[in-house]
Amino acid sequence: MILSEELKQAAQALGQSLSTTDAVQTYLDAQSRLQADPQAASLEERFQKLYQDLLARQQAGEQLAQAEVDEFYTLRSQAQSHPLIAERDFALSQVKSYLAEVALDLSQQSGVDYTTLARAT
Amino acid sequence: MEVTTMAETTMTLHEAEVSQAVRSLSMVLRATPELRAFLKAAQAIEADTTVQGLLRQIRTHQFALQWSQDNPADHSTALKKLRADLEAQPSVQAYYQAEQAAHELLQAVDALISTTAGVDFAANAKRSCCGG
Repeated sequence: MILSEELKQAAQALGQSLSTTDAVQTYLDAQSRLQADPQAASLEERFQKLYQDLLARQQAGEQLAQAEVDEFYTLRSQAQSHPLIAERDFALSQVKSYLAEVALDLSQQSGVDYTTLARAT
Repeated sequence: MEVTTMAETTMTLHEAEVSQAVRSLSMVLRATPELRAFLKAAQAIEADTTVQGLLRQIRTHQFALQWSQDNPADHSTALKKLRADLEAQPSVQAYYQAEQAAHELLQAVDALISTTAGVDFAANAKRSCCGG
């Protein structure tokens, strides 16, 4: 899809202004701190990998072993209690809430449901 | 008189910039052929009495199925036919085409916003079912 110059500039201006907000800056800072900490980054990576694996197998109809489910909850508990992951998750929930408000505003002013149309597959 | 902290003034200015950027982008988007065609197609569906009639019948059968009224198999068969009739309506087909074009446009716009902002915009802007 080729966008007009005017549309490109308007979209970039919104992206640029979003990047300067407290919500986005706090989230990006928290994410950087998490990624810079090998222990936190590894814990999150292991948790996400296990989660995606179990989810895919469950959705495929496979009955998961209790030991795997226990491992998932243990790892999730460890991840949730890690200060850097908890900090990032809190910042992420704040930024999601803020972006939802901005998208709602954009939908109301443009006349179309922006979030649904931009995400639909 | 309320005293404002330096942090609050900065935050307010940033949010005002976002509001202005939303207004500008909305104006440009509303003028695009894709969104104009999509809004026109949506209006055409609203005004199409055949489509509205089919939608009413579909809702009636869905309600009957939901509350287990009469024979569920009869309602399922009727629903299947009504949905096929609905999909065949020219205004519905035009709507789907316009929706696809609007989707492609907004996906490209969203990619640009997200890259510039440093965070995926639409993907993270979806409201949860419970107001989160």
